[in-house]
Amino acid sequence: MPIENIEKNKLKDMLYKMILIRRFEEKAAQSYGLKKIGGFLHLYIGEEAVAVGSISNLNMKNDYVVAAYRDHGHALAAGMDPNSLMAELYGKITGCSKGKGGSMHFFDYEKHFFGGNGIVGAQIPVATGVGLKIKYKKEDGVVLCYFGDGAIHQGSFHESLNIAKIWNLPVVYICENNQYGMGTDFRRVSSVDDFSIMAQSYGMKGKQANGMDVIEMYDVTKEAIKSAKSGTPYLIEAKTYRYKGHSMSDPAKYRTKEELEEYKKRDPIYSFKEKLKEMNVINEEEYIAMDKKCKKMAKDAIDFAEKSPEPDLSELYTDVYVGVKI
Amino acid sequence: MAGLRPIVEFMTFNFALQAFDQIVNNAAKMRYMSGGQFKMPIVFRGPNGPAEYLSSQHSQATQTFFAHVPGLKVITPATPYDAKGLLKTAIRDDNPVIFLEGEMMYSWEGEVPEEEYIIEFGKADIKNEGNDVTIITYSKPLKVVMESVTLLEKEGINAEVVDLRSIRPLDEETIIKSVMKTNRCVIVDESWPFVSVASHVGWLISNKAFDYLDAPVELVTSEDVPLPYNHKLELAAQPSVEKIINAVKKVLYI
Repeated sequence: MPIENIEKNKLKDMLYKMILIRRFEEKAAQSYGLKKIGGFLHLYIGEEAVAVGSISNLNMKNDYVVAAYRDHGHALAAGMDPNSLMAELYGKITGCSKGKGGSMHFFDYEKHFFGGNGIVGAQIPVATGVGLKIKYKKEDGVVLCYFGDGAIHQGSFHESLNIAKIWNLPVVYICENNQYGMGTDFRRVSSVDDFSIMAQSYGMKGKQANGMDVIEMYDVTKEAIKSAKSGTPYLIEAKTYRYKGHSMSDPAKYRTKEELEEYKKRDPIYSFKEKLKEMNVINEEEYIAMDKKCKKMAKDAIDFAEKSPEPDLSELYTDVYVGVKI
Repeated sequence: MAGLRPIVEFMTFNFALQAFDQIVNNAAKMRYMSGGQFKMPIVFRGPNGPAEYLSSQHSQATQTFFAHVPGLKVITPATPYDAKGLLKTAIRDDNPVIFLEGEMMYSWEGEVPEEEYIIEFGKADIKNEGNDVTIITYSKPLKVVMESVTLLEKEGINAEVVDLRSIRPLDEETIIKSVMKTNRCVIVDESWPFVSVASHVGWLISNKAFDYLDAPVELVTSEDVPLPYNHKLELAAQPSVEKIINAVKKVLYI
Protein backbone atom coordinates (compact mmCIF):
# COMPACT_ATOMS: atom_id res chain seq x y z
CA MET A 1 0.00 0.00 0.00
CA PRO A 2 1.49 3.40 -0.89
CA ILE A 3 2.27 5.34 2.27
CA GLU A 4 -0.05 8.15 1.13
CA ASN A 5 -3.00 5.76 1.48
CA ILE A 6 -2.29 5.05 5.14
CA GLU A 7 -4.26 7.21 7.53
CA LYS A 8 -2.23 10.06 9.00
CA ASN A 9 -3.09 9.16 12.58
CA LYS A 10 -1.91 5.62 11.94
CA LEU A 11 1.42 6.92 10.67
CA LYS A 12 1.80 9.19 13.69
CA ASP A 13 0.96 6.29 16.00
CA MET A 14 3.66 4.15 14.44
CA LEU A 15 6.25 6.88 14.94
CA TYR A 16 5.09 7.41 18.51
CA LYS A 17 5.32 3.71 19.36
CA MET A 18 8.83 3.43 17.95
CA ILE A 19 10.00 6.41 19.99
CA LEU A 20 8.33 5.04 23.11
CA ILE A 21 10.12 1.72 22.70
CA ARG A 22 13.48 3.44 22.31
CA ARG A 23 13.02 5.73 25.30
CA PHE A 24 11.75 2.83 27.40
CA GLU A 25 14.80 0.75 26.51
CA GLU A 26 17.22 3.61 27.24
CA LYS A 27 15.71 4.06 30.70
CA ALA A 28 15.79 0.30 31.34
CA ALA A 29 19.49 0.24 30.39
CA GLN A 30 20.19 3.09 32.84
CA SER A 31 18.46 1.26 35.67
CA TYR A 32 20.36 -1.90 34.79
CA GLY A 33 23.60 0.11 35.14
CA LEU A 34 22.40 1.17 38.59
CA LYS A 35 21.79 -2.53 39.41
CA LYS A 36 18.09 -1.93 39.91
CA ILE A 37 17.38 -4.52 37.23
CA GLY A 38 19.24 -7.84 37.22
CA GLY A 39 19.84 -10.87 35.03
CA PHE A 40 19.53 -10.64 31.27
CA LEU A 41 18.29 -7.48 29.56
CA HIS A 42 17.96 -7.85 25.79
CA LEU A 43 17.34 -4.42 24.30
CA TYR A 44 15.31 -3.80 21.14
CA ILE A 45 17.00 -0.50 20.17
CA GLY A 46 17.48 -0.38 16.38
CA GLU A 47 14.81 -3.03 15.69
CA GLU A 48 11.74 -0.93 16.58
CA ALA A 49 10.33 -0.84 13.03
CA VAL A 50 9.89 -4.63 12.94
CA ALA A 51 7.51 -4.95 15.90
CA VAL A 52 5.74 -1.64 15.30
CA GLY A 53 5.27 -2.05 11.54
CA SER A 54 3.94 -5.61 11.83
CA ILE A 55 1.84 -5.29 14.99
CA SER A 56 0.21 -2.07 13.67
CA ASN A 57 -1.85 -4.38 11.45
CA LEU A 58 -3.41 -6.17 14.38
CA ASN A 59 -6.60 -5.88 16.31
CA MET A 60 -5.49 -7.23 19.67
CA LYS A 61 -9.06 -8.24 20.52
CA ASN A 62 -8.89 -11.03 17.94
CA ASP A 63 -5.20 -11.32 17.13
CA TYR A 64 -2.22 -12.61 19.10
CA VAL A 65 1.47 -11.88 19.53
CA VAL A 66 4.04 -14.46 20.62
CA ALA A 67 7.60 -13.22 21.07
CA ALA A 68 10.99 -14.51 22.20
CA TYR A 69 13.11 -13.13 25.06
CA ARG A 70 13.85 -9.78 23.33
CA ASP A 71 10.23 -8.90 23.99
CA HIS A 72 9.98 -5.33 25.30
CA GLY A 73 9.32 -3.77 21.88
CA HIS A 74 6.58 -6.23 20.97
CA ALA A 75 4.85 -5.79 24.32
CA LEU A 76 4.80 -2.00 23.93
CA ALA A 77 3.71 -2.23 20.28
CA ALA A 78 0.89 -4.56 21.34
CA GLY A 79 -0.34 -1.90 23.75
CA MET A 80 0.93 -3.14 27.10
CA ASP A 81 1.36 -0.55 29.84
CA PRO A 82 4.96 0.71 30.14
CA ASN A 83 4.52 1.01 33.91
CA SER A 84 3.72 -2.67 34.34
CA LEU A 85 6.60 -3.61 32.04
CA MET A 86 9.17 -1.52 33.88
CA ALA A 87 7.85 -2.83 37.21
CA GLU A 88 8.38 -6.35 35.87
CA LEU A 89 12.01 -5.48 35.08
CA TYR A 90 12.31 -4.30 38.69
CA GLY A 91 10.81 -7.60 39.92
CA LYS A 92 7.89 -5.80 41.56
CA ILE A 93 4.43 -7.18 42.34
CA THR A 94 2.89 -4.54 40.03
CA GLY A 95 4.78 -6.01 37.08
CA CYS A 96 2.91 -7.69 34.24
CA SER A 97 4.06 -11.10 35.56
CA LYS A 98 4.04 -10.13 39.27
CA GLY A 99 7.83 -9.88 39.30
CA LYS A 100 8.16 -13.60 38.66
CA GLY A 101 9.19 -13.40 35.01
CA GLY A 102 11.51 -10.42 34.50
CA SER A 103 12.77 -9.06 31.18
CA MET A 104 12.37 -12.28 29.19
CA HIS A 105 8.87 -13.11 30.36
CA PHE A 106 6.40 -10.31 29.72
CA PHE A 107 2.87 -11.75 29.53
CA ASP A 108 -0.65 -10.36 29.20
CA TYR A 109 -3.39 -12.93 28.77
CA GLU A 110 -6.14 -10.31 28.37
CA LYS A 111 -4.23 -8.34 25.75
CA HIS A 112 -3.28 -11.48 23.85
CA PHE A 113 0.44 -11.10 24.47
CA PHE A 114 1.60 -14.70 24.99
CA GLY A 115 5.21 -14.00 26.09
CA GLY A 116 8.09 -13.32 26.55
CA ASN A 117 9.68 -16.83 26.05
CA GLY A 118 13.19 -17.71 27.21
CA ILE A 119 14.20 -20.85 25.34
CA VAL A 120 15.42 -20.18 21.80
CA GLY A 121 12.78 -21.25 19.27
CA ALA A 122 10.51 -22.84 21.87
CA GLN A 123 7.76 -20.24 21.40
CA ILE A 124 7.25 -21.18 17.72
CA PRO A 125 5.18 -24.31 18.52
CA VAL A 126 3.24 -22.24 21.08
CA ALA A 127 2.28 -19.69 18.40
CA THR A 128 1.33 -22.52 16.06
CA GLY A 129 -0.96 -23.93 18.73
CA VAL A 130 -2.64 -20.54 19.16
CA GLY A 131 -3.18 -20.57 15.38
CA LEU A 132 -4.91 -23.96 15.72
CA LYS A 133 -7.20 -22.54 18.41
CA ILE A 134 -8.25 -19.67 16.11
CA LYS A 135 -9.00 -22.06 13.30
CA TYR A 136 -10.71 -24.67 15.50
CA LYS A 137 -13.01 -22.07 17.03
CA LYS A 138 -13.58 -20.46 13.62
CA GLU A 139 -12.43 -17.05 14.88
CA ASP A 140 -11.33 -14.14 12.75
CA GLY A 141 -7.78 -13.73 14.01
CA VAL A 142 -4.12 -14.19 13.24
CA VAL A 143 -0.97 -14.92 15.25
CA LEU A 144 2.28 -13.04 14.73
CA CYS A 145 5.17 -15.21 15.92
CA TYR A 146 8.60 -13.59 16.40
CA PHE A 147 11.98 -15.28 16.71
CA GLY A 148 15.58 -14.52 15.83
CA ASP A 149 18.09 -15.68 13.23
CA GLY A 150 19.52 -18.06 15.83
CA ALA A 151 16.16 -19.74 16.42
CA ILE A 152 15.35 -20.47 12.78
CA HIS A 153 17.64 -23.51 12.79
CA GLN A 154 15.85 -25.16 15.68
CA GLY A 155 13.75 -28.20 14.93
CA SER A 156 10.79 -26.45 16.57
CA PHE A 157 10.69 -23.93 13.69
CA HIS A 158 10.68 -26.54 10.95
CA GLU A 159 8.18 -28.81 12.68
CA SER A 160 5.88 -25.83 13.28
CA LEU A 161 5.93 -24.64 9.68
CA ASN A 162 5.15 -28.10 8.43
CA ILE A 163 2.15 -28.54 10.69
CA ALA A 164 0.97 -24.96 10.11
CA LYS A 165 0.72 -25.69 6.38
CA ILE A 166 -0.81 -29.14 6.79
CA TRP A 167 -3.58 -27.56 8.88
CA ASN A 168 -3.54 -24.21 7.04
CA LEU A 169 -3.23 -22.21 10.25
CA PRO A 170 -3.51 -18.40 10.44
CA VAL A 171 0.06 -17.80 11.60
CA VAL A 172 2.65 -15.34 10.30
CA TYR A 173 6.18 -16.34 11.31
CA ILE A 174 8.50 -13.36 11.53
CA CYS A 175 12.23 -14.03 11.70
CA GLU A 176 13.93 -10.93 13.06
CA ASN A 177 17.33 -11.33 11.45
CA ASN A 178 19.48 -8.84 13.36
CA GLN A 179 22.52 -10.53 11.78
CA TYR A 180 24.01 -12.01 14.96
CA GLY A 181 22.92 -15.00 17.05
CA MET A 182 24.56 -13.69 20.23
CA GLY A 183 28.08 -13.14 18.81
CA THR A 184 27.81 -15.35 15.73
CA ASP A 185 27.26 -13.93 12.25
CA PHE A 186 24.14 -15.63 10.89
CA ARG A 187 25.96 -16.56 7.65
CA ARG A 188 28.36 -18.79 9.62
CA VAL A 189 25.57 -20.97 10.96
CA SER A 190 23.06 -21.02 8.12
CA SER A 191 23.15 -23.06 4.94
CA VAL A 192 21.23 -20.27 3.17
CA ASP A 193 21.51 -16.48 3.41
CA ASP A 194 17.90 -15.80 2.48
CA PHE A 195 15.73 -17.29 5.22
CA SER A 196 12.48 -16.47 3.42
CA ILE A 197 13.10 -19.32 0.96
CA MET A 198 12.66 -21.81 3.80
CA ALA A 199 8.91 -21.19 3.46
CA GLN A 200 8.93 -23.00 0.11
CA SER A 201 10.08 -26.22 1.77
CA TYR A 202 6.73 -26.34 3.51
CA GLY A 203 4.52 -25.07 0.70
CA MET A 204 4.14 -21.69 2.35
CA LYS A 205 4.79 -18.19 1.11
CA GLY A 206 7.85 -16.26 2.23
CA LYS A 207 9.35 -12.83 1.71
CA GLN A 208 12.30 -10.76 2.87
CA ALA A 209 11.53 -7.28 4.20
CA ASN A 210 13.60 -4.31 5.20
CA GLY A 211 13.19 -4.34 8.95
CA MET A 212 14.59 -0.83 9.25
CA ASP A 213 11.58 0.53 7.33
CA VAL A 214 8.38 0.56 9.35
CA ILE A 215 6.13 1.04 6.32
CA GLU A 216 7.68 -1.87 4.45
CA MET A 217 7.17 -4.02 7.56
CA TYR A 218 3.57 -2.81 7.77
CA ASP A 219 2.89 -3.60 4.11
CA VAL A 220 4.58 -7.00 3.96
CA THR A 221 2.85 -8.08 7.18
CA LYS A 222 -0.53 -6.93 5.80
CA GLU A 223 -0.01 -9.14 2.76
CA ALA A 224 1.17 -11.99 4.99
CA ILE A 225 -1.87 -11.75 7.26
CA LYS A 226 -4.18 -11.83 4.25
CA SER A 227 -2.48 -14.99 3.06
CA ALA A 228 -2.44 -16.62 6.51
CA LYS A 229 -6.11 -15.92 7.12
CA SER A 230 -7.01 -17.44 3.78
CA GLY A 231 -5.20 -20.68 4.51
CA THR A 232 -1.55 -20.21 3.58
CA PRO A 233 0.70 -19.41 6.52
CA TYR A 234 3.52 -16.99 5.80
CA LEU A 235 7.19 -16.51 6.70
CA ILE A 236 8.73 -13.02 6.77
CA GLU A 237 12.45 -12.47 7.17
CA ALA A 238 12.87 -8.96 8.57
CA LYS A 239 16.42 -7.76 7.92
CA THR A 240 17.25 -5.62 10.93
CA TYR A 241 20.04 -4.66 13.31
CA ARG A 242 20.42 -4.28 17.05
CA TYR A 243 22.48 -1.29 18.11
CA LYS A 244 23.33 -2.82 21.49
CA GLY A 245 24.89 -6.16 22.39
CA HIS A 246 22.91 -9.40 22.62
CA SER A 247 22.31 -8.58 26.27
CA MET A 248 23.80 -6.02 28.65
CA SER A 249 26.85 -8.20 29.31
CA ASP A 250 27.84 -8.32 25.62
CA PRO A 251 30.37 -5.66 24.45
CA ALA A 252 29.66 -6.70 20.82
CA LYS A 253 33.32 -6.96 19.78
CA TYR A 254 32.44 -9.32 16.94
CA ARG A 255 31.35 -6.48 14.67
CA THR A 256 32.94 -3.23 13.54
CA LYS A 257 32.06 0.28 14.62
CA GLU A 258 31.72 1.17 10.96
CA GLU A 259 29.04 -1.48 10.48
CA LEU A 260 27.08 -0.14 13.45
CA GLU A 261 27.42 3.45 12.21
CA GLU A 262 26.25 2.40 8.77
CA TYR A 263 23.01 1.02 10.24
CA LYS A 264 22.54 4.05 12.46
CA LYS A 265 22.48 6.18 9.31
CA ARG A 266 19.42 4.17 8.31
CA ASP A 267 17.89 4.55 11.74
CA PRO A 268 14.24 3.45 11.55
CA ILE A 269 12.93 6.28 13.72
CA TYR A 270 14.95 9.10 12.16
CA SER A 271 14.27 8.05 8.58
CA PHE A 272 10.54 7.62 9.21
CA LYS A 273 10.32 10.98 10.94
CA GLU A 274 12.01 12.65 7.95
CA LYS A 275 9.61 10.95 5.58
CA LEU A 276 6.58 12.09 7.59
CA LYS A 277 7.96 15.63 7.60
CA GLU A 278 8.34 15.57 3.83
CA MET A 279 4.74 14.42 3.59
CA ASN A 280 3.63 17.15 5.97
CA VAL A 281 2.17 14.59 8.35
CA ILE A 282 4.15 16.09 11.20
CA ASN A 283 6.57 18.98 11.70
CA GLU A 284 9.70 19.13 13.83
CA GLU A 285 7.87 20.75 16.77
CA GLU A 286 5.29 17.99 16.85
CA TYR A 287 8.07 15.41 16.72
CA ILE A 288 9.85 17.07 19.64
CA ALA A 289 6.61 17.14 21.64
CA MET A 290 6.05 13.46 20.84
CA ASP A 291 9.57 12.58 21.96
CA LYS A 292 9.11 14.58 25.16
CA LYS A 293 5.93 12.68 25.91
CA CYS A 294 7.69 9.33 25.41
CA LYS A 295 10.61 10.37 27.58
CA LYS A 296 8.17 11.34 30.30
CA MET A 297 6.32 8.03 29.99
CA ALA A 298 9.61 6.14 30.35
CA LYS A 299 10.58 8.23 33.36
CA ASP A 300 7.14 7.80 34.90
CA ALA A 301 7.48 4.06 34.39
CA ILE A 302 10.73 4.13 36.36
CA ASP A 303 9.07 6.12 39.15
CA PHE A 304 6.18 3.67 39.19
CA ALA A 305 8.54 0.69 39.33
CA GLU A 306 10.68 2.21 42.09
CA LYS A 307 7.69 3.05 44.25
CA SER A 308 6.00 -0.31 43.77
CA PRO A 309 6.30 -2.94 46.50
CA GLU A 310 8.20 -6.20 46.16
CA PRO A 311 6.10 -9.36 46.06
CA ASP A 312 5.41 -10.90 49.44
CA LEU A 313 7.42 -14.05 50.20
CA SER A 314 4.17 -16.02 50.08
CA GLU A 315 4.03 -15.29 46.32
CA LEU A 316 6.73 -17.93 45.95
CA TYR A 317 4.05 -20.61 46.33
CA THR A 318 1.25 -19.11 44.23
CA ASP A 319 0.63 -19.71 40.51
CA VAL A 320 2.28 -23.15 40.38
CA TYR A 321 -1.08 -24.77 39.65
CA VAL A 322 -4.51 -23.40 38.81
CA GLY A 323 -6.70 -23.02 41.86
CA VAL A 324 -4.34 -24.76 44.23
CA LYS A 325 -2.01 -23.28 46.80
CA ILE A 326 0.75 -25.63 47.82
CA MET B 1 29.33 -45.03 18.92
CA ALA B 2 31.20 -44.89 15.62
CA GLY B 3 34.62 -44.14 17.10
CA LEU B 4 34.86 -40.51 18.27
CA ARG B 5 34.95 -39.28 21.87
CA PRO B 6 32.92 -36.06 21.85
CA ILE B 7 32.65 -33.49 24.65
CA VAL B 8 29.44 -31.52 24.29
CA GLU B 9 29.29 -28.13 26.03
CA PHE B 10 25.81 -26.82 26.77
CA MET B 11 25.54 -23.09 27.30
CA THR B 12 23.36 -24.10 30.23
CA PHE B 13 21.73 -27.40 31.13
CA ASN B 14 18.39 -25.62 30.81
CA PHE B 15 19.05 -25.68 27.06
CA ALA B 16 20.08 -29.36 27.23
CA LEU B 17 16.39 -30.12 27.66
CA GLN B 18 16.04 -29.44 23.93
CA ALA B 19 18.46 -32.35 23.43
CA PHE B 20 16.86 -34.53 26.12
CA ASP B 21 15.70 -37.14 23.60
CA GLN B 22 19.18 -37.57 22.14
CA ILE B 23 20.67 -37.98 25.60
CA VAL B 24 18.00 -40.25 27.09
CA ASN B 25 16.79 -42.28 24.11
CA ASN B 26 20.02 -42.50 22.16
CA ALA B 27 23.14 -42.00 24.30
CA ALA B 28 21.78 -43.86 27.33
CA LYS B 29 20.18 -46.77 25.44
CA MET B 30 22.42 -47.79 22.51
CA ARG B 31 24.67 -50.11 24.46
CA TYR B 32 21.85 -51.94 26.17
CA MET B 33 19.59 -52.23 23.12
CA SER B 34 22.43 -53.55 20.99
CA GLY B 35 23.26 -56.24 23.50
CA GLY B 36 26.51 -54.53 24.48
CA GLN B 37 27.94 -54.01 20.99
CA PHE B 38 28.45 -50.28 21.23
CA LYS B 39 30.42 -47.95 23.48
CA MET B 40 29.07 -44.43 23.96
CA PRO B 41 32.04 -42.37 25.19
CA ILE B 42 30.47 -38.91 25.31
CA VAL B 43 30.58 -36.16 27.93
CA PHE B 44 27.80 -33.59 28.23
CA ARG B 45 29.03 -30.70 30.36
CA GLY B 46 28.03 -27.16 31.23
CA PRO B 47 26.48 -24.88 33.84
CA ASN B 48 23.59 -26.22 35.91
CA GLY B 49 21.36 -24.83 38.64
CA PRO B 50 20.12 -21.35 39.45
CA ALA B 51 22.31 -18.31 38.81
CA GLU B 52 20.67 -14.96 39.60
CA TYR B 53 17.67 -13.01 38.26
CA LEU B 54 17.03 -15.47 35.40
CA SER B 55 13.52 -16.70 36.24
CA SER B 56 12.04 -20.15 35.74
CA GLN B 57 13.27 -21.34 32.34
CA HIS B 58 16.93 -20.48 32.99
CA SER B 59 17.33 -21.49 36.64
CA GLN B 60 16.83 -25.23 36.90
CA ALA B 61 18.94 -27.76 38.76
CA THR B 62 18.51 -30.58 36.25
CA GLN B 63 20.40 -33.44 37.95
CA THR B 64 17.29 -35.39 38.89
CA PHE B 65 16.14 -35.61 35.26
CA PHE B 66 19.39 -37.29 34.26
CA ALA B 67 20.11 -39.27 37.43
CA HIS B 68 16.83 -41.12 36.88
CA VAL B 69 18.11 -42.75 33.70
CA PRO B 70 20.04 -46.04 33.80
CA GLY B 71 22.84 -45.85 31.25
CA LEU B 72 23.91 -42.31 32.20
CA LYS B 73 26.55 -41.35 34.76
CA VAL B 74 25.96 -38.07 36.59
CA ILE B 75 28.90 -36.20 38.08
CA THR B 76 28.67 -33.13 40.32
CA PRO B 77 31.96 -31.59 41.51
CA ALA B 78 31.96 -28.81 44.11
CA THR B 79 35.61 -27.69 44.12
CA PRO B 80 38.15 -26.82 41.39
CA TYR B 81 40.33 -29.75 42.51
CA ASP B 82 37.49 -32.24 42.19
CA ALA B 83 36.34 -30.72 38.89
CA LYS B 84 39.69 -31.40 37.21
CA GLY B 85 40.10 -34.92 38.50
CA LEU B 86 36.52 -35.91 37.74
CA LEU B 87 36.43 -34.33 34.27
CA LYS B 88 39.47 -36.37 33.26
CA THR B 89 37.72 -39.50 34.44
CA ALA B 90 34.56 -38.46 32.58
CA ILE B 91 36.41 -38.04 29.29
CA ARG B 92 38.16 -41.40 29.66
CA ASP B 93 34.94 -43.20 30.57
CA ASP B 94 33.38 -45.24 27.76
CA ASN B 95 29.84 -44.37 28.89
CA PRO B 96 27.76 -41.21 28.46
CA VAL B 97 28.53 -38.85 31.35
CA ILE B 98 26.49 -35.83 32.44
CA PHE B 99 28.97 -33.43 34.04
CA LEU B 100 27.17 -30.69 35.97
CA GLU B 101 28.95 -27.46 36.87
CA GLY B 102 27.06 -25.04 39.12
CA GLU B 103 26.66 -21.80 37.17
CA MET B 104 27.61 -19.69 40.18
CA MET B 105 30.72 -21.84 40.86
CA TYR B 106 32.84 -20.60 37.95
CA SER B 107 34.25 -17.74 40.05
CA TRP B 108 35.19 -20.01 42.96
CA GLU B 109 38.89 -20.43 43.63
CA GLY B 110 40.85 -23.38 44.96
CA GLU B 111 44.15 -25.23 44.68
CA VAL B 112 44.53 -27.32 41.54
CA PRO B 113 47.81 -29.24 41.06
CA GLU B 114 49.51 -28.87 37.67
CA GLU B 115 50.26 -32.56 37.51
CA GLU B 116 47.98 -35.27 36.23
CA TYR B 117 45.51 -36.85 38.63
CA ILE B 118 42.16 -38.51 38.28
CA ILE B 119 39.32 -39.00 40.74
CA GLU B 120 37.38 -42.22 40.51
CA PHE B 121 33.60 -41.99 40.04
CA GLY B 122 31.44 -43.14 42.95
CA LYS B 123 33.82 -41.96 45.65
CA ALA B 124 32.36 -39.38 48.01
CA ASP B 125 34.73 -37.07 49.87
CA ILE B 126 34.54 -36.13 53.53
CA LYS B 127 34.94 -32.34 53.37
CA ASN B 128 34.75 -31.98 57.16
CA GLU B 129 35.01 -34.58 59.89
CA GLY B 130 32.59 -34.50 62.80
CA ASN B 131 30.67 -36.71 65.20
CA ASP B 132 27.39 -34.94 65.94
CA VAL B 133 25.56 -34.96 62.62
CA THR B 134 26.16 -35.91 58.99
CA ILE B 135 25.40 -33.32 56.32
CA ILE B 136 25.25 -34.89 52.86
CA THR B 137 25.47 -32.59 49.86
CA TYR B 138 26.98 -32.17 46.39
CA SER B 139 27.79 -29.41 43.90
CA LYS B 140 27.09 -25.74 44.65
CA PRO B 141 25.33 -26.09 48.05
CA LEU B 142 28.67 -27.30 49.51
CA LYS B 143 29.49 -23.59 50.01
CA VAL B 144 26.48 -22.84 52.23
CA VAL B 145 27.02 -26.16 53.99
CA MET B 146 30.61 -25.26 54.89
CA GLU B 147 29.51 -21.81 56.08
CA SER B 148 26.88 -23.51 58.25
CA VAL B 149 29.49 -25.90 59.63
CA THR B 150 31.68 -22.99 60.77
CA LEU B 151 28.73 -21.38 62.57
CA LEU B 152 27.66 -24.70 64.10
CA GLU B 153 31.20 -25.28 65.43
CA LYS B 154 30.89 -22.05 67.40
CA GLU B 155 27.88 -23.59 69.10
CA GLY B 156 29.84 -26.75 69.85
CA ILE B 157 28.17 -28.83 67.12
CA ASN B 158 30.60 -30.81 64.98
CA ALA B 159 29.11 -31.73 61.63
CA GLU B 160 30.57 -34.28 59.22
CA VAL B 161 30.20 -33.15 55.62
CA VAL B 162 29.89 -35.83 52.94
CA ASP B 163 30.35 -34.38 49.45
CA LEU B 164 28.90 -36.99 47.09
CA ARG B 165 30.80 -35.64 44.02
CA SER B 166 29.13 -38.34 41.94
CA ILE B 167 25.38 -39.07 42.00
CA ARG B 168 25.43 -42.03 39.66
CA PRO B 169 27.36 -44.11 40.65
CA LEU B 170 26.57 -43.27 44.27
CA ASP B 171 29.00 -43.98 47.13
CA GLU B 172 26.55 -45.72 49.44
CA GLU B 173 29.31 -47.03 51.70
CA THR B 174 30.61 -43.60 52.73
CA ILE B 175 27.08 -42.31 53.33
CA ILE B 176 26.08 -45.23 55.53
CA LYS B 177 29.40 -45.29 57.42
CA SER B 178 29.08 -41.62 58.32
CA VAL B 179 25.45 -41.93 59.44
CA MET B 180 26.32 -44.97 61.55
CA LYS B 181 28.93 -42.78 63.24
CA THR B 182 26.85 -39.64 63.85
CA ASN B 183 23.33 -41.18 64.03
CA ARG B 184 21.78 -38.04 62.55
CA CYS B 185 21.57 -36.77 59.01
CA VAL B 186 20.61 -33.71 56.98
CA ILE B 187 20.69 -33.86 53.17
CA VAL B 188 21.21 -30.59 51.28
CA ASP B 189 20.24 -30.61 47.59
CA GLU B 190 19.51 -27.56 45.39
CA SER B 191 17.07 -29.40 43.16
CA TRP B 192 13.37 -29.86 43.97
CA PRO B 193 12.45 -32.19 46.85
CA PHE B 194 9.95 -34.43 45.03
CA VAL B 195 11.52 -37.70 43.76
CA SER B 196 15.00 -36.19 44.04
CA VAL B 197 18.58 -37.23 44.79
CA ALA B 198 17.91 -36.08 48.35
CA SER B 199 14.78 -38.21 48.72
CA HIS B 200 16.62 -41.22 47.28
CA VAL B 201 19.54 -40.85 49.69
CA GLY B 202 17.03 -40.41 52.51
CA TRP B 203 15.41 -43.73 51.60
CA LEU B 204 18.83 -45.38 51.35
CA ILE B 205 19.67 -44.34 54.90
CA SER B 206 16.34 -45.50 56.30
CA ASN B 207 16.84 -48.79 54.50
CA LYS B 208 20.45 -49.50 55.47
CA ALA B 209 21.03 -47.57 58.70
CA PHE B 210 17.58 -47.44 60.29
CA ASP B 211 18.71 -48.86 63.61
CA TYR B 212 21.46 -46.29 63.88
CA LEU B 213 19.23 -43.21 63.44
CA ASP B 214 18.41 -41.09 66.48
CA ALA B 215 16.15 -38.76 64.46
CA PRO B 216 14.31 -38.78 61.13
CA VAL B 217 16.47 -37.63 58.21
CA GLU B 218 15.86 -33.98 57.27
CA LEU B 219 16.02 -32.59 53.72
CA VAL B 220 17.03 -29.04 52.81
CA THR B 221 16.17 -28.57 49.13
CA SER B 222 14.89 -25.82 46.88
CA GLU B 223 11.23 -25.05 47.49
CA ASP B 224 8.84 -27.08 45.34
CA VAL B 225 8.20 -24.19 42.90
CA PRO B 226 9.69 -22.92 39.63
CA LEU B 227 12.30 -20.24 40.35
CA PRO B 228 10.93 -16.65 40.23
CA TYR B 229 12.77 -13.61 38.86
CA ASN B 230 12.45 -11.41 41.95
CA HIS B 231 15.76 -11.72 43.81
CA LYS B 232 14.38 -11.86 47.33
CA LEU B 233 12.00 -14.62 46.30
CA GLU B 234 14.57 -16.62 44.35
CA LEU B 235 16.98 -16.59 47.29
CA ALA B 236 14.17 -17.66 49.62
CA ALA B 237 13.48 -20.60 47.31
CA GLN B 238 16.97 -22.10 47.66
CA PRO B 239 18.91 -23.83 50.45
CA SER B 240 20.48 -21.30 52.82
CA VAL B 241 22.72 -21.27 55.90
CA GLU B 242 19.70 -20.50 58.05
CA LYS B 243 17.69 -23.43 56.67
CA ILE B 244 20.63 -25.82 57.11
CA ILE B 245 21.29 -24.77 60.70
CA ASN B 246 17.60 -25.14 61.54
CA ALA B 247 17.55 -28.62 60.03
CA VAL B 248 20.68 -29.64 61.95
CA LYS B 249 19.16 -28.42 65.19
CA LYS B 250 15.97 -30.27 64.40
CA VAL B 251 17.73 -33.62 64.05
CA LEU B 252 19.67 -32.84 67.23
CA TYR B 253 16.42 -31.96 69.02
CA ILE B 254 17.73 -28.53 70.07
